[in-house]
Parts: sequence; C-alpha cells; structure tokens
Amino acid sequence: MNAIETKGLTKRYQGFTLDGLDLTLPAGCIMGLVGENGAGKSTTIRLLLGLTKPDAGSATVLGTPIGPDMRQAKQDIGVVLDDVGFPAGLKAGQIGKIMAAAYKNWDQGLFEKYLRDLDIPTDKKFSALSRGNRMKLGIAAAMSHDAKLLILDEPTGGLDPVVRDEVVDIFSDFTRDPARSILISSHIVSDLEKLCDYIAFLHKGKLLLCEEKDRLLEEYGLIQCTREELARLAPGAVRGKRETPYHVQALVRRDAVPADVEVRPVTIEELFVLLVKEDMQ
Amino acid sequence: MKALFLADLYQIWITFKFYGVFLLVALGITAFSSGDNNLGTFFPMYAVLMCSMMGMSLIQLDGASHWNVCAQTLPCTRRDQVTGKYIITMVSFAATWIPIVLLYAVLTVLGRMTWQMMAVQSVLLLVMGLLAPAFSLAPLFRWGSAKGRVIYIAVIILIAAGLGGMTAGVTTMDQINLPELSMPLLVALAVAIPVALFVGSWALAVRWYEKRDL
Repeated sequence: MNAIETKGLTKRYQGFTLDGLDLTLPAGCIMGLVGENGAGKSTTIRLLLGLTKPDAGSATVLGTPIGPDMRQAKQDIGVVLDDVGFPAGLKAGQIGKIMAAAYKNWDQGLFEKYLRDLDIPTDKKFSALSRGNRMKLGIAAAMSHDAKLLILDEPTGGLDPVVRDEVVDIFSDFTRDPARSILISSHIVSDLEKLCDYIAFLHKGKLLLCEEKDRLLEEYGLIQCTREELARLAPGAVRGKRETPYHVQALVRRDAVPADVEVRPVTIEELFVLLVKEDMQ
Repeated sequence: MKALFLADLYQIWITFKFYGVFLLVALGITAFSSGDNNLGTFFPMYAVLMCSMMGMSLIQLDGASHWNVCAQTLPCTRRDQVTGKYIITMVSFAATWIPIVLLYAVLTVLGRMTWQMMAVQSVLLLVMGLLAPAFSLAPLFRWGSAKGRVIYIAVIILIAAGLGGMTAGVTTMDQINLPELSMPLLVALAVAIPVALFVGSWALAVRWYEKRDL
C-alpha cells in the first residue's frame, strides 16, 4: 500500500493554483517536497490532512480518501505544521496530556524521552518558547504515538544546525520500520538530501519532477562550458543553466552528453535551483 | 473529542480562572441588594453574558494560536470541534445560571423576591445566556474570529434596528397587540425559542465549519 497517493490534486486560490498534482509515496519511504515560498508545499500538506478541500482530483492517505472524516487514519499520522499550533498558554506536560487523550497508542514515556533528549523546556508556556523549541515540541508530540506516517511542514525551520542534524537522525531512525513513511517539506534542501528516498520539486503550483533521489543524482550532472559548447549538445540534454560573463553552468542528463564532456555530480539544491531557473526562462 | 475538551479546560483555567471569584462576588451582591432592582439584576446578567461568551473567547484564542488548525490534525472531526465549543458554552452557562436561580429561590423563600419576579428574571437570564452564543458562535466558525465577530455585531445591530423599527411610536406596552397567552405558555415559549435557536446555531456551525478551508 502507498502511504500517500494523489491524482490530479488541484486547489485554486486567487493568484495561485496547485495544478493537477500526481504524487506517490510508497510505504516505508521518505519523500521531500522542495519548492520556493508559495510553490504549493503547505497547500499540498493541508489538502492531504483534510484541512482544505480540493477543487479537483483525489488523494488517499494510508489508504483513506482525504475528506472531513479521517479520524481513523489520523490515529496513524503524526503531523508538524509550520507554525505547530499548540494552545499558547499550555506547557509541554499539558500538551502531552492532550495528545494522550487524542491518540490510542500514545507513549508518555517516549514523549518524555524526546522532551529530555531534545532539551525542550517543560516549565515554559508554549507561547514563551523559541521557534526552535516550539518545533522540537511539535516533533516530540508527532513522534510519540507510533505513527505510520509523518507529515512534516518545514519541521527543521528555526532549528540550529546541531539540533537539525539530531532531528534528521530521529526521522531516519523512524523509517527503519518498513511500514513507516515520511512526507517532509523544507527549504533546507541539504536536510532533505540526507534524509529522503524521493524528491518532489514544486514550482508555482506545478510538479516539476518527482523521482527517487539516487536516480536523480545518477541521472543528472553539472557541466561547465562556453555558450558555443553548450549549443553543440543534443536537444533535451540540458535541463537548466546558469550563465555568467565567463562561462555557463548547465544541468544536463548524463546519458545525453558525449563521453568526453566532464560531468560532475549535482546536489539536490543545485538541481532544484537550475530546474526552477529554466522553468522561469 | 476528549482531547479537545481537555485543551478547552486548560484554556478556561488559564484565561478565566478569576471568573469563579467574579461569580461569587456577583451572587453576594445580588443576595444583599435584592431590594435594589438595578444591582440585583445587573450582576447576574453580566455574569451570564460573560459565561455565555466563553465559547466565543475560546474560538478567538484557538484562532490566535492556530490550535483550531492543529486540532484538525488530531483524530477528531470538525463536528467534534464545533460540538465541544457548544457543550463548553452550555456547561459554563449552566454553572452560572443554576447558582443564580438557586439564589433567587432562596431570596424568594425568604420573602425578598416575589415568585413572579424570580420566574421572569430566571427566564430572562436563560434567554440571554442562550441567544448570545446562538448568534455569535456560528459566524465565528464560518468566517473566523475577526470577520465572524464583525458579522455577529452587524446581525445584532440589524435585529435591534428591526425591533426598533417595528416598535417605532410605541410608548407603552399596551400599544403592542400581543396575542393573549397564559403565563406557563409564555415561559415555555421564552425557553423553547432560545433553545431551538441554540441547537439550530450548532447545526449551522457544523455545516459551515465542515465547508471551511482552514
């Protein structure tokens, strides 16, 4: 069973349309949603959680069609939204009690372990916590009820690099169980590169690419050349380029460039930036 | 649903913990000033209005912290979220109205209030306590706390203006041609109409909230 499956998922707002999104996240995998601000990452997550209604298309989450009553499915979903959203005046202990009342499989011991390990202040109200600590509390709550799917909207935003690394390790550990999956959106593409099996690039509400990360890294590479050299490449070889007064840096399909052209590995961040630039041109 | 109640109870404790003290003071003032109609009526009315707006305040707090959205990522439905607020409103109203009515009953037994006065004031408080949330909660669920509050105030102004227009030129109650009804029937109607509006408001709020994009 796929953890998430969307077919032609569409949502129209004034000035923005999430346009016919087709995504499949197989069970046991981690998918990173990459996109600039306003690309449609949060809209996608809100649609999947039934917070917003699609204008067209369909989606299932853990086999349940998205809609107003996803109670049963939500027992198995852990969520961290970009603003977390716990009641402002409550402390970590009280939030734990609320979660314990909500989830059948709530593990109070595990929650307390996350509070300790992530160094989350338990004596402060949620509104008094830093953005990083709010995020950590959201992550602790999302991971303490034996969820089968984590849906995370910018969960590493506001975290310092050390904690970010720790959180990325926690997410990695989470998917050691093959029944567990993660959908994660982030601006910090390096985190996704470490973590994800699949990468989906969203740009202005459209899915530019959705592919296995390793395949993307195998399939694409970067070359540095002159404009004339670039013009000699086969049509369709170049997927994006960045020009400077001295040279051109181009994102190419490795199998479409001659063997004597030196192709260096591309990072997911470079891949995304060059794809978006190409799309904008 | 239990989780949502717990969250609301924590919020009530944090935000309205002094309300209990206020209610005791209001009851005390009412007990010792029952001869004075203004004070004996004003404080109970104020207490009832305050408690009946508790659901409205909770929705505003939820909106400010985005708990309304976060709560929908938990295993509960939007119907649960709406129903929870209406139940909290009912319970807080009952927790205020019942002690006031008991106090009125004691004052009546002691001869400091007439039975008729007790009945009229109790029903009046019941009507106020149910009508205020009946008109305020549904718009908040439909349009959110900022817009919903404006719409609620606009509706109240329209109702007041409508009643004002209907009774323009009327200077005494005798000029209003009301059908002659017995006292028990009047009381029954005065209770049934706000209860029906409150239940109708809940049904409308569920319908509206289920359609709303969060």
